Amino acid sequence: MKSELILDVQGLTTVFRMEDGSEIKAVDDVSFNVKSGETVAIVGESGSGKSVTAMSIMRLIPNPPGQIVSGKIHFEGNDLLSMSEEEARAIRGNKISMIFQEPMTSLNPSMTVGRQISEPAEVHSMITSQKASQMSQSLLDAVRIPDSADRVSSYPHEFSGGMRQRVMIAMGMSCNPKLIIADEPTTALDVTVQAQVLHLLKDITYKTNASLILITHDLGVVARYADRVHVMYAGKIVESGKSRDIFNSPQHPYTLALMNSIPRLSNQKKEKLKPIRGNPPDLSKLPVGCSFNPRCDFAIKQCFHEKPTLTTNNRYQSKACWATINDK
Amino acid sequence: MTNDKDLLTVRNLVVEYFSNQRPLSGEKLKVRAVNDISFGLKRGETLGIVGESGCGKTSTALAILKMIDSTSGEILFDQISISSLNKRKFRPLRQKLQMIYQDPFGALNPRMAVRDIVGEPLKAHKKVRNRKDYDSKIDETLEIVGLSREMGKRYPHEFSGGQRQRIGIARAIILKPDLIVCDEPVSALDVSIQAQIINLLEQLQQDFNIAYLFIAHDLAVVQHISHKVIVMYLGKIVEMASREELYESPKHPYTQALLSAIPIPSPDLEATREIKMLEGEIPSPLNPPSGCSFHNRCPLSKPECTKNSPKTTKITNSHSVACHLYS
Repeated sequence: MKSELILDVQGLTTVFRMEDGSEIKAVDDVSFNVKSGETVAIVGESGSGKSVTAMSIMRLIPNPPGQIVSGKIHFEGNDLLSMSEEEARAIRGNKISMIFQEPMTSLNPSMTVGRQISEPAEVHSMITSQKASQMSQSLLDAVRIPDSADRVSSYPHEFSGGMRQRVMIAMGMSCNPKLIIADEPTTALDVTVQAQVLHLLKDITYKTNASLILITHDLGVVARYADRVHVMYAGKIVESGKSRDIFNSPQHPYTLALMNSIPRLSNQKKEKLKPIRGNPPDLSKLPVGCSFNPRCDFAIKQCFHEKPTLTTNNRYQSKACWATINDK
Repeated sequence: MTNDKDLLTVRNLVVEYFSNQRPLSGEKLKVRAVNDISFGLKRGETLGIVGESGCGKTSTALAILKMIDSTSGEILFDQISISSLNKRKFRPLRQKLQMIYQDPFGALNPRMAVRDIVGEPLKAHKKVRNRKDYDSKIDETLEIVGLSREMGKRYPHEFSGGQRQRIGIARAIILKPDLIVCDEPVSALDVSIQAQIINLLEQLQQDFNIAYLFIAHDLAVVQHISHKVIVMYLGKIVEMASREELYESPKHPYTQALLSAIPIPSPDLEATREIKMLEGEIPSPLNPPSGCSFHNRCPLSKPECTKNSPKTTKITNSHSVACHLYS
């Protein structure tokens, strides 16, 4: 793949200050990049730092209690983190847009759908308000909402969950973004609608050659839509690589354990699931060394006193782990 | 598919809800959440119910537990018709009929210690003679679900989601029920924890011969745990089959679309899979389509489908489908 880098995140660390004065690292030294036109998935469970990573890229971390303490986020060559708020605002919602998880609460209930869709474009002075309604209508067509001419003047409560998520996508597309960050875009939707919305998102990014960061906990969604994957655990990327490589030969014990613990439609035989023992990590009391060590089947001595760093072990796949997996 | 040996038999169950009166016309809107469904469940078996929101799966569960009134139809539990029982007469049966809830955060009283949450059914049904008996039953149950005696003294907020679900399970099994209704028991949990809970439920079934009515939208989880599966759409059963038959040869176009909508965690399989995408969304149950309620989204719909509601056709002894393609 010889396409240019559109986003390059280096050593991003975002902390949150707790009420008792302690700090937790929600995102801990995370580096990854996104090439133009590709779909990159960030997978992880709750508390893994996937959403905070997205919010950090958008510079939407509420401060206090949160703060980006180090790292660089280069978007089209410019560091987002060293920009003024004004400069960042010119990019946010314009060249980078975000689609949130909750279509029910992310829309303004007292504003027509059409106004909301064209708002980003108006704010970024790309169009005049006369043209706005026309644009909203064609975006509604693009996200395949029927009767777009009538629907532009509807309010969000008149729409179903799936349609609201389509409206969110239309809003995200209104400025022709280069990068779309979708944070669990379909978690709140029914299965058949989820498939429609993801297909639409993938289709639209393909047509506009935009890049997509897909944040999800669903490994199936990753397998179906992502080109590359970053697996996060306790604020760190523990494994990254091409989807195919990650699924066919997971190198990190957490990735492997996750794959073994989920029931799959393709498994016709009734086998016992292999759960990951223990509980998800508590960021305020992480173990010394690798954060996954209490739950790991392959941990060696080193894992209990030294933090592993992400190293590339072949051309595409990298992992942050001291141990070697010997799959029985 | 109902017979004498079933632990639970549901015959022609209908559940209707009424909305508030409209201000001008004064008419009341009626929603048929469950529309004439019948099925049976044997001891020690798991029956999975899948479907999307508004399909009636939760209403079915609540009607079986008599937590809502059924409009018509019959529910037999251990050969006793419970639909006609009043609260007082139903109470002794209720111990044998328990429920595990979806939200492990909302289902536990935050002001009660875990021991008391788990032991409450013992008190409610006057199942213990003295304190010692009460304590030992709780300790035994906590151990079965993988919690320590020490943990029993703590409060729900001190536990993670998976542990809270274990507490909910402990409360459900302490009276040694015959049937547990599990309403989306793992969907609120992290992926790495789901397998722990599923394995625990399977273990309990083996050890105590409990039957589960397992309600979920995740077809992969249902496939894993169920012996028999029901697929519901807008209040009706569209397909019912053994686990193997349903997943290997789904008949109803809706079942096929549902299965194909779920991505499989394997890029190689996904690349070669034919995906049947459904158009549109689930219609409002206030105003269901005429004829077959799936016809407006069905890729194979025929003129007949818009007129008549399909009858249930038997494909094999353990597989039936309600679709005009097969009648």
